Amino acid sequence: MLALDQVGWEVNGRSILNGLCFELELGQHLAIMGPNGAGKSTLLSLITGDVAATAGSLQVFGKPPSAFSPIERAQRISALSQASELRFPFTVEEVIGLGRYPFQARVESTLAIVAEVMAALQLNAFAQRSMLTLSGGERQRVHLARAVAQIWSSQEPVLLLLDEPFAALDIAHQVGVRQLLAKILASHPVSIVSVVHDLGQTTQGYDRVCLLNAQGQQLAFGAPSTVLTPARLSELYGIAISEILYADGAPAGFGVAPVSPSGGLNR
Amino acid sequence: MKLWLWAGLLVFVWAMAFVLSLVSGYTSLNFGDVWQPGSLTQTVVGEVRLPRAILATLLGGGLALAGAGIQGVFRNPLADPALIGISGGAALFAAVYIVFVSQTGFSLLGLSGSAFLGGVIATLLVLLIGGRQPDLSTILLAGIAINAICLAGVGLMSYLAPDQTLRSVSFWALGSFNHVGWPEVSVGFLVIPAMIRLIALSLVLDVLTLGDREAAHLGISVIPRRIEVILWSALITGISVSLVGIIAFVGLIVPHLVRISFSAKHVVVLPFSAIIGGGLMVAADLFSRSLLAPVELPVGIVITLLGAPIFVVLVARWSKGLWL
Repeated sequence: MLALDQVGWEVNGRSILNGLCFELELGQHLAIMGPNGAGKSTLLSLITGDVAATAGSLQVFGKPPSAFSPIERAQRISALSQASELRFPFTVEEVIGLGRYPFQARVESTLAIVAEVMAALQLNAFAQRSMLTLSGGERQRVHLARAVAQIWSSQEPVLLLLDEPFAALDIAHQVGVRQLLAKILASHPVSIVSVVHDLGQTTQGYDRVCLLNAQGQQLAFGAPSTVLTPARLSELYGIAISEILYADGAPAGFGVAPVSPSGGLNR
Repeated sequence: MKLWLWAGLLVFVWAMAFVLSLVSGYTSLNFGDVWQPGSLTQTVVGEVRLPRAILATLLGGGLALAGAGIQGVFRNPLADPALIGISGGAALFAAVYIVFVSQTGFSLLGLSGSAFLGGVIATLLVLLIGGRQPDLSTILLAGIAINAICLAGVGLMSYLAPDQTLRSVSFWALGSFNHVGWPEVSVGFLVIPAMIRLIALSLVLDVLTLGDREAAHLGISVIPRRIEVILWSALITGISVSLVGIIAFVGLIVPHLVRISFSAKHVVVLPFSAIIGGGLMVAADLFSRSLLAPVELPVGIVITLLGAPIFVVLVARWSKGLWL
């Protein structure tokens, strides 16, 4: 459903992304990882069609994003941006309802979907709260709920793109969102692409990982267990990264050694 | 209380202000004569007070609604057509029209059209200066610059004007319903289609407040829709400025009041702003001609004395990071 072949993007002669080659199947969750400035958010913009690839071919559901009409694209591709600053006192329920805009459905069916999504993200208590009174993490969850509402109960295959969905969330809500995403994958014809930073949890919940280096090149693509190795990550980020295991030997993620005051890393 | 009950109540309040503005004024009238052709009562009410009250309703409602539209487009609840220079641009182009074009045949429609063009150019300038998501201080600074240029231009025009054709600078800067008659009212009715179209765009405006990228992801063609809202809002502002001069703050405080009291959804904000704005303008006009009667104050003075302190409070709260 998502296929990239030698995709590249450059602006003003400067290459931001190049040589991206991978395919994602329906029902899979892809994590895009890499250092700051690797072009992770730009890759999401290529998939949404906000910008067009300057090299190679990128196809979503069998055609380039630019081949969709705006409304048709919005019905198939939902995206959560990193930061959306809303300065108007809309209620939580109203903002999530905006996620149903592409469908121009009756108010009752919109409200029913909004109620389901709010329940799934434990936002019911906030329904009538003004967005201006929420904390950063609460707002993040509302915008996530809006993006989820956009693909909720879809019969057609859809794509959900999330730019750092866990950034402002505490650990309990991170787990809640992970559970929700797993539930959506199990119950909807959907694929999910997430930009993530936290190495601690990337071994769980993802079917594929795309690792970008600082030059915007695809370093590796595949199952998390094969792509994410301590040696590769240490080289990519330029610091010592080691794998953490549970007591029974199962992988628990990655960690770095404590930082010393003198600046270097203790091993 | 249900929203439509509130709407009914607000229409009732407007109607009270409307009737009050017909029956009160400096000239004391015998209302037994009102249906008698040629009576003083019929002349004063029919030729002076009624057109004033109707135009105040249309332009007050229009300006409040246009303010809400501009705030949606700039994603900023503190934008106002007069503060950001749209009205100034409209006034300058209206003055230019009077001085340079009207010798070959003056028409109120031409005047309004010219003011509309000025309003559009000023809005595009603000967008050009501030970029796509300008912050509040940028918008207001751009507005200061554009207003300064435009009012200086209006002043210059008043020296170039051959005779009394150009109204005074203070007319343009402060606004007044003093001279209004039926020809002005007939042009004023042109704000209605623009208001209806903006109300039809309510849901689009809701989505636009999320941000350009978010709106595009929800299937909106952002640039054409933004331009459309700007054009309709500038049309309302241009017509208003060409007929009664610049009246600031209506477009700022009325939508704010609606958002605080009822809802931020534009399907509520736009029509409620129109009703309250119409009532407010009728009341302000009545007040401006009653306070020092028989001398009339420009209505803009009354509205600004009411609106500017509220704006100061809002800006002070904004500087603390609060948008309400």
